[in-house]
Amino acid sequence: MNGTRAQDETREAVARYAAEVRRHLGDLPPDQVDDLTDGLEADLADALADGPHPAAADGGGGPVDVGVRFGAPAAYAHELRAAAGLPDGSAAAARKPWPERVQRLRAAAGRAGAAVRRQPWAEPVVRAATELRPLWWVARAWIGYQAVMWLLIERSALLWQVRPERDGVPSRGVHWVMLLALVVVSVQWGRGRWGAAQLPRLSRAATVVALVLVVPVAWFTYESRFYGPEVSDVRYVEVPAADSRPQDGVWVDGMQVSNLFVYDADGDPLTDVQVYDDRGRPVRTTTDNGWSAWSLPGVEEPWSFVSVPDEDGRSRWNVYPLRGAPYEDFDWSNPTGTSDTAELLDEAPRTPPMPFAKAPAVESATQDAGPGEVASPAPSTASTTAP
Amino acid sequence: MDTTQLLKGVLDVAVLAVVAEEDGYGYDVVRRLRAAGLAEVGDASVYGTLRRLYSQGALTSYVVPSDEGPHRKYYGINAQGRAMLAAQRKDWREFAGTMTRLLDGEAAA
Repeated sequence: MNGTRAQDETREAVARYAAEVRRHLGDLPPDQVDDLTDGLEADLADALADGPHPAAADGGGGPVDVGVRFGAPAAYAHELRAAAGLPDGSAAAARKPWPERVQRLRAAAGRAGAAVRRQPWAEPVVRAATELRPLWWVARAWIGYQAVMWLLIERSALLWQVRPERDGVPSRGVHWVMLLALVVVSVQWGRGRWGAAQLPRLSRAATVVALVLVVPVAWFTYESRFYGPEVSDVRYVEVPAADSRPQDGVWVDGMQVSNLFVYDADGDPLTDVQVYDDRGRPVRTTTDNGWSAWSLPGVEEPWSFVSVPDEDGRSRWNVYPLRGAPYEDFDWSNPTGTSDTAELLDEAPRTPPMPFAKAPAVESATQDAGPGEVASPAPSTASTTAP
Repeated sequence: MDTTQLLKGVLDVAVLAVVAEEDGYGYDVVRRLRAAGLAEVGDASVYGTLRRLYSQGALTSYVVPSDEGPHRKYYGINAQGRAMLAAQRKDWREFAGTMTRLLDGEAAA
């Protein structure tokens, strides 16, 4: 029991050390790193099993510190690479000295990284991230795809045919082809092919940029799917400005009318004609009890109208043509305070000027309708009874 | 004298000689070198040397999976490696003879 646990610990420590060594070879293409460190765990484990180095006094008891036995992983990696005749990463970096500020920044970043790596959770996280490398390759390709799409959107006026969607998922064949091509390139880079060996920095920089951008870009594309419609998706619907609420009154051809003039089948004007709609509601041109002033065609002064009382004493406003008088002839002071209409001062209300004295006769109506049915008596009786 | 510096120059031929005896994986080669008296040899130096000789075409390589642990990468010598070993053995003998004569003569003088 104790033995297997110690073995597990040793295996863990060896894996950790090997991962560190590989990390220090990170500037080499992955296939070279694999070549160089293939079987490293077995070698390390065997070396440890051979017992402690003469330098280490107490054998076996405490936790395995592989670093004591093999030295710092960086030095180990350096030795490995030097013996293999591969360029030294640190020497390569030293060939092109960075500006001092950048160097300080890099040193600080390195210290921060080392502090993080000392945490107990750092090693499994790094190992998991390393094992998920293919996922990062795909993410990198997707970021590249988004970048291409973004450029196409910017140039969309030129490229309507391939104008992309913005929800992050390709929907047209050409987009899938583009994304797949980028995935292939990214994976080949990850495997150290297709120029990645010559340009390890470019490959790594692309990975870093992708890792930094993948979450915000994913968020943005997800959001813009809902909130950022494409330009072509915006449609302007024309709604009539006056459509807000049907207005009272009678409208003809978009224009409110003050009065209605009724002619019989022969074209003669009728007076005191009651007009109802199809539901039996009185048709009223004015709904404010005659308070409004109307400008009539060909009349200089505005007019106001009065109602006609019916048998029960109610005011009727649907009896046409409405009678009235010029606005000035009314007393608007409402002296009695009881009436809600204005008092006409001294004259009887008149019929305003008619559009024409006689309308054209309706031929069929005169033929079909018998003389008795024509409302011809109405004008005479109405005109006599009205005042 | 810093023997690690001397070792650097002869590690190739030493590794070739050990592998020529019998195929071996990385640490096995280290162990045999140390057993032969090269106690100062560094693990990583040997592994790197094996890798370099392999990429130069002097060694063959195969992986042996292990039931209870990580797999081992074995190296074996091939014809090119044997030729290289023979040439370097000859070089070493000449060089060692020269150095021996030089140092002994100097000591005698």
